[in-house]
Amino acid sequence: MSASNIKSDSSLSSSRYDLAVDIETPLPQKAEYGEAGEIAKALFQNSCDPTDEFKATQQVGFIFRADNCIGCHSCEAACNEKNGLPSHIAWRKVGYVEGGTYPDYTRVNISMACNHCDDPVCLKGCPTGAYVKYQDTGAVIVDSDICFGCQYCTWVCPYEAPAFNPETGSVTKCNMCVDRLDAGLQPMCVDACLGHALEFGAIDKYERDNPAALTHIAGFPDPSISKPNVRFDQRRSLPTTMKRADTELIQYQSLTSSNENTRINEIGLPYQSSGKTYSASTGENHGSKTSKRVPWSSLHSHETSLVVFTLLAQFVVGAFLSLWSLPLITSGAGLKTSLVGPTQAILVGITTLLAVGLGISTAHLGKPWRCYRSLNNLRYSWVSREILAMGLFFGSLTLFTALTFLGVSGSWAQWGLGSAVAMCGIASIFTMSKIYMIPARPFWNHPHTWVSFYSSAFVLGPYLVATVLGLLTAIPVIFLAAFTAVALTTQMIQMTSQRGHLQDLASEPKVNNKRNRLFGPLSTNTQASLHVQGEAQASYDQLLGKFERFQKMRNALSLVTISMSAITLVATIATSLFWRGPSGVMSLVNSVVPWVTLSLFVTVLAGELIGRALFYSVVTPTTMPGSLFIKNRGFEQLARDTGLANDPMVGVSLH
Amino acid sequence: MRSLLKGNVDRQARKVKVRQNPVDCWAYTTCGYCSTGCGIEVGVKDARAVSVRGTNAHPVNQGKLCLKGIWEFEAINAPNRGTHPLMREEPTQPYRRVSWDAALTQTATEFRRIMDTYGPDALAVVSTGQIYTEEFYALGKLVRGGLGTNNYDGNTTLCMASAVSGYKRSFGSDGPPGCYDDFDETECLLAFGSNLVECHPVIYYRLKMALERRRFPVIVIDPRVTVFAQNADIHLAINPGTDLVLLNALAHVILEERLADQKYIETHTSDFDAFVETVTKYSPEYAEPITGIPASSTRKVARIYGNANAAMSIWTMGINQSVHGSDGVVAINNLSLLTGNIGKPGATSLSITGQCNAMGTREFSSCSGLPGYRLLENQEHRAQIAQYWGVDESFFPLKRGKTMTDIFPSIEAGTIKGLWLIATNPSTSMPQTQRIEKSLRNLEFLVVQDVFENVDSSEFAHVFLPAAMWAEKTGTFTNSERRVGLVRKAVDPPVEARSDLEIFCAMAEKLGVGHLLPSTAPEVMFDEFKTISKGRPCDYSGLSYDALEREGGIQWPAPTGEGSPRLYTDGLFYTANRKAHFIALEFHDTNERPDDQYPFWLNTGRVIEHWHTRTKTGQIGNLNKFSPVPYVEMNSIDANRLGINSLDSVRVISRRGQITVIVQVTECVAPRMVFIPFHFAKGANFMTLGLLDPYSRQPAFKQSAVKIEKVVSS
Repeated sequence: MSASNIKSDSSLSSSRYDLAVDIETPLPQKAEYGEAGEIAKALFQNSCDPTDEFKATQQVGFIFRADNCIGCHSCEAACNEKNGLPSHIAWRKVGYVEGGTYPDYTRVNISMACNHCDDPVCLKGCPTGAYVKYQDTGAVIVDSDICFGCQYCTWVCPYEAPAFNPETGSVTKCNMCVDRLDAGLQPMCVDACLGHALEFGAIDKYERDNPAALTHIAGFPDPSISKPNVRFDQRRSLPTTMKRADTELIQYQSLTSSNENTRINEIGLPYQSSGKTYSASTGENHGSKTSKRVPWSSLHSHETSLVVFTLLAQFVVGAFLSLWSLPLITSGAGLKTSLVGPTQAILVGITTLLAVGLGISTAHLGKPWRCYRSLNNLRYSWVSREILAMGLFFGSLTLFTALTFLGVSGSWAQWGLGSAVAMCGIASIFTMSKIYMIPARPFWNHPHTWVSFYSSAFVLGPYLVATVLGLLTAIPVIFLAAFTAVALTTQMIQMTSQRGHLQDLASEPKVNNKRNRLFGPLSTNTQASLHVQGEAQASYDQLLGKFERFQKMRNALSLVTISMSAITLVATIATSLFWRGPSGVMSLVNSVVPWVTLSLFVTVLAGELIGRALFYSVVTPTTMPGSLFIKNRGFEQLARDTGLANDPMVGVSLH
Repeated sequence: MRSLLKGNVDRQARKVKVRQNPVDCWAYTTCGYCSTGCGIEVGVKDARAVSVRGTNAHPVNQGKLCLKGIWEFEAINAPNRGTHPLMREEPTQPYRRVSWDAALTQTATEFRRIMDTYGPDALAVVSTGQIYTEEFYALGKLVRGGLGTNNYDGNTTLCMASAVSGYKRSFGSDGPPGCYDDFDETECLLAFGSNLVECHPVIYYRLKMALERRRFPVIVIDPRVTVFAQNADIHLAINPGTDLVLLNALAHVILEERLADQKYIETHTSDFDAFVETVTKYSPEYAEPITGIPASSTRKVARIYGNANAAMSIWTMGINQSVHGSDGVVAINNLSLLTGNIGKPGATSLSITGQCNAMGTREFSSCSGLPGYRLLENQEHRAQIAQYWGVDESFFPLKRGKTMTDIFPSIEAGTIKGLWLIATNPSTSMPQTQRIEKSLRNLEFLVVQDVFENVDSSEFAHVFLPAAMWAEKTGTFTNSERRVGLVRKAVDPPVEARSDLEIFCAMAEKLGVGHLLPSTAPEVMFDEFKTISKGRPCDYSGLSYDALEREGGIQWPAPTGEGSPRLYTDGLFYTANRKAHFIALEFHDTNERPDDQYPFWLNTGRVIEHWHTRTKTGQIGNLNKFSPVPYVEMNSIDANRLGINSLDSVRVISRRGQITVIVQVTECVAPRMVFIPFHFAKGANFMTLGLLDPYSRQPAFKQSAVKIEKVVSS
């Protein structure tokens, strides 16, 4: 047989094989950003219409005929073979949704890779600027030599297209086989397809030629999240409910009343065609057993280092703000000199803690030594902005602490610097929250993320400062009551906000929309309200199901602190302002309250730790459906628990 | 002009880094997994297989490959390849590396000792469907012409024996009469017990392409709702083991509604009346309670089939692996004969074979007879081969000896003392694993010849002979449509491993019959069986290696070098009267059936990512990951009743044995039925009963009764 052109072989000239030859066109030299004004603009401006910004000359993409896919994995195998991927990495993955009852059972296989989106959330999220969307084809391509392995792109992408390899510490993903496109060939997966399910071509042309082209099918996340360049053809009538085979608590429910009709096909046999649209919801899927007691270890996740880092950072911000407001609170009390020592101690303590926290957050990178690249994408990435704000906060805090020791306290310079530290602290919590408020993670994509992040600061910080001052100085407790009051108020706001959050998670989509109108500018959830509701509900179900005892524990701790601090507050105020009896009571209160505050701090810390761990454990990302063994978090956990994952042939990464 | 989009934050133009996998040369081969016969080229770099690609414009696969084919070069590079001959006195001891000479001398000595002490039939040879036809021929010559044991069979008894037997009973000879091109011509396709999508993905591709060009009804008969069944126009969800009743009922309707081809029946068939008499009883209404298929559906399918100008049937293990597997094949043939659907484009009765060279072993291995579809029972055939081989005709037994499925009970009973296993793994593939393992322990001498040292059966062996794999040697495979395909050697076998042909030649030498196999060159063997195939149904006489590579395989008979897409185009069959036989078939249900104690049907089968007993695919992570552990598919009704969720562990228990597997809850299996892929060692075959078909001696893997218990974790 004659040699084929199925694969890029030596018949392709090396120059055509390497795209670099074609794209080495120099960029315009004009600086598009980087100046202070631009940074500020970027910081506070919501992204403009992405569709225009990333418009490709000729956007190409995959077309998926779902009815034809037989789930043979040839596309996936061809991709892994071409790109030399190990078994635990896949750029294209095949999962399925299924519905009906035997023998009227239907399984829809879904083969999905990168959709080279019009609104490339990965590109925008990546702090290192490792992503590029090419103008000619619209291909979104990551350079894993730039990536430092923060994995943020794997959070923002609803299709799990970027694949983090724990062994190399970086992310890789579908590159649209640009080498093959250059050689006039189709991408490898399309070439390998055995069921005539995958096609590839210009998206606008496909839409022109196929007015019935779909942008969404059951099992696919809401296309409004990132405007993916994938089109579907799915005509066979499906059951009203389509379930997943993995352990995610998601199923897909037909939104429209059944408008299917029985037609007679070309060969005279009845054929059900359908125009149903599906949206994600939660179902009585496997694994949602409320009865089973889950162990403490289930709170441990990949993001445990982030639990520690976020709480530490917020605590430090809160502590600094409390300290900084101390002169206001204690003005006229004549305590200035006695406060210097403890203040310095706290400052040194929190600066050290923040340094530790920053170290932890850096260590969680796949390639920590590349952390200097984190400011590469201030233009789009909230991660970059957070790192900038956090860096400024840390720097100014260190300077402030140092100045305190140099005895420049009370000066205007210190006041000015302190203001800067405070602003940076507030900004760093703001940017930190924005990192989590992403449509691909509906549980996080809620104003409650802000509330909970700021409240961690305004509960932990004041309690710590009040405890330290109360124990180390002779300051009358009445001066510390303000801290308790702030913490108490914050906790009450936090609990109210959590109630609202839970209601929104569990609610019908329309309620969600209403809330979005109220908080419109705060939330990017407006467009993506319908199809991600299932993921939000799944988080809710987990919180009140599998993780119920932790949620209860956390709430109990909050209630205990709220009531304890309320009693303390009342006792403090009552004794300090209105007590006319023996002074022994006064001194008793003065000596007891700091210890109570300490216990409050410890209780709150425990509650916050559980709460933050839940924040990461409960989140249900928008994902493509998996199967029993592939892309199934349940099986991956089982494989790790039972030691199966030690066998490299199982294809489950140990990490 | 390319330019970077504004989205980029890097000032430098960005290179797209694409993995390069340069290849020095591509070697032409035919795939070594299933019998589809795909053209596949192996990319070689620095004498190592680094890639494969489908052969473009190949008549079978047109450049396409399934995932197993895509990763086939990794099978060559997989861990646990046998690199040195291994030997030990007792299977309880560890193996030690020995020279080829020592291993072969020991093997020959033990063979001779066993045959001298207990008689020649105390030695058994069980081969495979996965070595080249040249090697099968050489092995047959060695065993039939030199060794003299009559207990010689291949593992094809586990997969294709019923098809062979059915073809012989209906048409007088083995040999699938149709071809894949028939998809492009047919007006109706019946698929019996075939999960084409997973078992023969590239044949499904051919079918799909034919359907894209021209729609025709596809009817799938399968107890499971496979993806193939879902994609069919009609799916008949049949009760396990009742195909024969459905087939008789289809024939009943065709006769009743006068859709039969009377002219064809009169001209080309015999024994029609007895057949009519039998099927009269099998009305669709009679069949309904047995098959579970509504009478109206049976009638509808019969009408579609009967009215089609050209209709074809395909089947695989759903028919073959059954106590009436041979009868099922005959019943499908009956249906084809009844409507004249044989020997014309789009009209055939096509068994889709399993292994890459199951056909080759049927043609030239001498397992069930003598090479070239010759029979031991035929004096003329014995004389022809005896003369050609230069052996005494009386050396041949007068009838076929034991099949693989009878050899193991004989080992258990102690009448067979020595066994030579070649590229087969019965301790996983045979039903009732625990009995097979016990039998293997009973042997005085077991030699295992395989490409992998860790093949499960080697656990019981005294000698292990490391063999070369597909693409490490040259030879031919025959696919399901009788297409003889060539495999060129792409790379050398690892270290000391030798091709099976070289091993057979060396064994012949050691056994003192070296004159039978004087050359280790595959071409010599090819020329030999080419010569003796002349005038036989499987006529290779016009073929050459170069022509096979040039044409992408050629379909026998090819006396002039021109391939034959179809058999029986002239309506003349290989029976004595040159007419095809109608055979009346009564349904006798001898299966084990679910009862109160064991309430579930156990069905077994294949998954797309694995091949047979996973010796290859289990060692390729990119395949194995799709099902790394055995699992059981269970209907949600049963799962809910037993309180079982997906990924829970259950014990599956039959009267033979039990295993613990994880559960997949799905609606693709019927309530009270479970499905377990058979690929896993110490897996499904612990539970299977494997009653034998009386004609083909093929085991019924797919119908056993089991119960399920939830494993409660402590």
